[in-house]
Amino acid sequence: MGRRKVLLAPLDPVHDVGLKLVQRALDAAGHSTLRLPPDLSAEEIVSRAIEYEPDTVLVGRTLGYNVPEVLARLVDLMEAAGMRSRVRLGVGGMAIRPELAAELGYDRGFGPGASSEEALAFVEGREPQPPAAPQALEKPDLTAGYGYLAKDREVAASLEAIAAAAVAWGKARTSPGVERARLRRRILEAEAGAERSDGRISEPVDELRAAYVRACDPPIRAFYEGTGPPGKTRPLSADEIAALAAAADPVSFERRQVRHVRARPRVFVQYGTGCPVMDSVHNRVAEAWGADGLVHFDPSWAARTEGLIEGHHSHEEDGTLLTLANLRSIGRARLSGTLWQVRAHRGLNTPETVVLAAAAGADLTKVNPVYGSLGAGTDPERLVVDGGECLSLAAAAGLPLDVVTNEELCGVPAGKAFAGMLIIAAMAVHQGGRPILQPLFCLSPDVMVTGRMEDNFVDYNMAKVIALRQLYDAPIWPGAPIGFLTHTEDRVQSATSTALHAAIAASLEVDAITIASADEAYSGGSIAAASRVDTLLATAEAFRFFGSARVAPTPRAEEWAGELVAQIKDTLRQVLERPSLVDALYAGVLGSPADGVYPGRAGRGTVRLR
Amino acid sequence: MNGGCLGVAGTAKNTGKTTTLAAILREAAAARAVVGVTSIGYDGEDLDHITGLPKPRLLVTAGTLVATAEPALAGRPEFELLERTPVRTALGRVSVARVARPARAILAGPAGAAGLGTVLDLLRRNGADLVLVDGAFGRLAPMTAVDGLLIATGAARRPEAAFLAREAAAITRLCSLPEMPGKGRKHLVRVRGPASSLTLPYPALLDLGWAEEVARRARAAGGFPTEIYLPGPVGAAPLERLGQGLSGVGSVMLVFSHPLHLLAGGDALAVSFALDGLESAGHRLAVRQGLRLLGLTVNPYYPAREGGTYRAAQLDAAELLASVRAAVDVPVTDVVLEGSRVLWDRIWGRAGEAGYS
Repeated sequence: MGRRKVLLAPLDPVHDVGLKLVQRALDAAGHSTLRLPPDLSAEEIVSRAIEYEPDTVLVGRTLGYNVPEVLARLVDLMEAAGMRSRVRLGVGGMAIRPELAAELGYDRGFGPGASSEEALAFVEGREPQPPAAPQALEKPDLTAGYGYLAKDREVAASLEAIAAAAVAWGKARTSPGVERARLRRRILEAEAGAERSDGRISEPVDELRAAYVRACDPPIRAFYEGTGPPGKTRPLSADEIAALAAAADPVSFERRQVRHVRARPRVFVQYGTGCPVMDSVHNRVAEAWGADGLVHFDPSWAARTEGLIEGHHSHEEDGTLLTLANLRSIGRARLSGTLWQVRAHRGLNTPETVVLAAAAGADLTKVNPVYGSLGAGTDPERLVVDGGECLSLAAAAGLPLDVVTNEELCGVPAGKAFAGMLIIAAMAVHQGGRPILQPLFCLSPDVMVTGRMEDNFVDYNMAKVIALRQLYDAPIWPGAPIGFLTHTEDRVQSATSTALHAAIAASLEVDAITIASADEAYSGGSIAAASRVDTLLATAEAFRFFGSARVAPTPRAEEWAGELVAQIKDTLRQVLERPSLVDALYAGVLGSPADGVYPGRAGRGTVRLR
Repeated sequence: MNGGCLGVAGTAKNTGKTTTLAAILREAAAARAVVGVTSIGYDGEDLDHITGLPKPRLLVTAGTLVATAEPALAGRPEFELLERTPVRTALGRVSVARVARPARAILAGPAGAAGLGTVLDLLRRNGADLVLVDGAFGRLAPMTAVDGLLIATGAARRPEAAFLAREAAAITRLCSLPEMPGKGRKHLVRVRGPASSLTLPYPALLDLGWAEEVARRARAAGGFPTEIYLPGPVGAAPLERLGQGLSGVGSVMLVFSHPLHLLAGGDALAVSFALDGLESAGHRLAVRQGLRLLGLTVNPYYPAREGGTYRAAQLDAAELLASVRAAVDVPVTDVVLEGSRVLWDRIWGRAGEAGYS
């Protein structure tokens, strides 16, 4: 390819910035360029083109009244001057689309977001270099580089003592949830014709499933006995299953990037419309707009029912049913580099959820028996047993897990919630797992009462991360979603609030964040795909705005971080004073009715000694 | 209809090109002609790119040949791909397809005359009895490749019947300049004198400086020039300047390359006025290649701009039709008012008069 002569013509009274950028790229590539001044007529541009004899003419113009006619006249004059067959014509501008460029008679249109590389490729007569291989993203390990060591001697000793005791306590017990998880694992091994993980010969699937069904609640038993699916659910039709399979077909789209100059945080979005097909489509939309990860939400009622159904099923309300078929299909319909989390933090099926997540190829799970029992309705004893099993299963499957602290939304002060989170993280590490701390970036009831966010939303959210980093060397993933309780029904406000919280997270260089859709808090039904795009775009804009710059907190952040550290230590001391973690949970040490949480009742009395 | 090619151009966007084309497609289908159709721009979309207002649809019957960009054929089983062409558009490579069953077409064809020539040949080779070329905006120059032309004008050009009538008269006047073929004329200005000829390096006459230079060199070329050939687009102001420069040199035959090159600047009235001045000074006018203007269509509809949006508006249809018809000596049709059959009959009546069938 030789050196090309390019005439750049801003057919515009003022603006020629776009053409200047293109000229810079062309000059750098060794081409010969001539940029005309703005505000020439079409006739004058053609006259100059006749003199300059370019290979390519690039015209820049923002559309306005009568402008398309002027752009078309330029093409007509070039044609009449006999130049059209030997000069390639490109037009760029905010309102330019390929269809309009074709209608105007140009060989190529460069619309919003077009790069200098695209213009360069057009001039050189080649296809543009694709942007950095978005389809073949490498999946990051959010836990890489962390040592999971407590940085404070007292905290280290407390966590080790509490975690070791709690793990031992849990291992001495079992529950229907633990038993079903083990049965499910054996069913999957038997169905795959594989040897049992313990080396024993597989049993018949029917017998295993019969044992599984016996450990389920009546609505789930009814499903397996053929009476039908639980209320508000239905099997997917053949067409829907085909559509779900098609959603996993390779797709080619230009993937936007949410992150700007910083490698962190990775941005997760939540899904769980109830319909696996819609979830898959929404996930593709989120990926196209740059989401790094997806978080699966299941129905809350399913968490209060012993047992999970099988097959492809739809749920008519929020939350998508946890079945292996649903998960596998949704999981397939994602880019190779997209992280995928299946939550197992609350309810009566958490160990089995981890088994399914691992079988479906999930990258992450979510565990926290403290929140699950105090803030989400499951009995503490049951969830400590099940949660311990979850941590063990996740470690065995190599699944990192976040430890959520949503009890703060119920009113528990952050320090207490963090103490619970650190205990579970230590239990995970004790079993060889890789936990991720998940402090909330939120306007919590405790914060409202204490007025810590009356001035700004920056200081206290930053204080949380500062405090955790002072105590423990672990990845941090604020969630979930960031800006919780700051969002309103106004989509612009909601997206802006998310973006600003994301900017705090980026300043702190945390490892990941989860963002809400712009209508999530007030959707009153299904979440619109467009509102997912709102927050992804807004977050990208915030990252672009701040770049390597940081949000600076006031000195209150350090002060509050100190208070949080003290609160965490004090809570750990109180837990140590109780006979067990479970006892501490019932006693309200990690969150009490006075704070706004109550020990859950689902699954109470189902734990037995092994 | 032995492979002839009919172009439908417009004086502006929304002057009724698509409606005119759709009417001809309907009548050609009724006459059981195999029609090939393409566009020098983009047509067939639901909503106008600029105004956002609904656009007429282009429906094609089974057997019709379509030359359009490949993305417009992708995933459309109604179209059977026949041949790919080397011609490219902003939307992709142009291919020729046969319509397998009635369908709505999106046309995105060659933007220039050279590409259009290639596509026309392919449509004819695949059996088209009649090839239709859809215009785009007010672009006329690529239509030099067609055999006969319909020009659509209307209120979208300017919502003023008297202006449209005056402009229609100017357009038909330019399109009826006598033809004077000449082998020696190339794509540069050529001045012929009684004894010798001079070629000047100007492929167009758009610049006042060039006009003065042509006149000066013509005078200095040795005696009075007898003919000046002016290739490419010619603007009104340079023509006037040329006329001034030629004063006192007697009668010169001014030969333009094509009527559509006189229209390419988009101001037929001003160019016609400049030509009047040259004729008054005793000069004679001709074109190297003539144009068969088969008629005009008029469209009273126009998108009226209101703030940042548009609404559909309309002139008095009968008044517009009568005004334009009174100003020109070619058939004028309002397709919506009079029907597609009337248009069809007038096209072929005019084609017969023009010795073209």
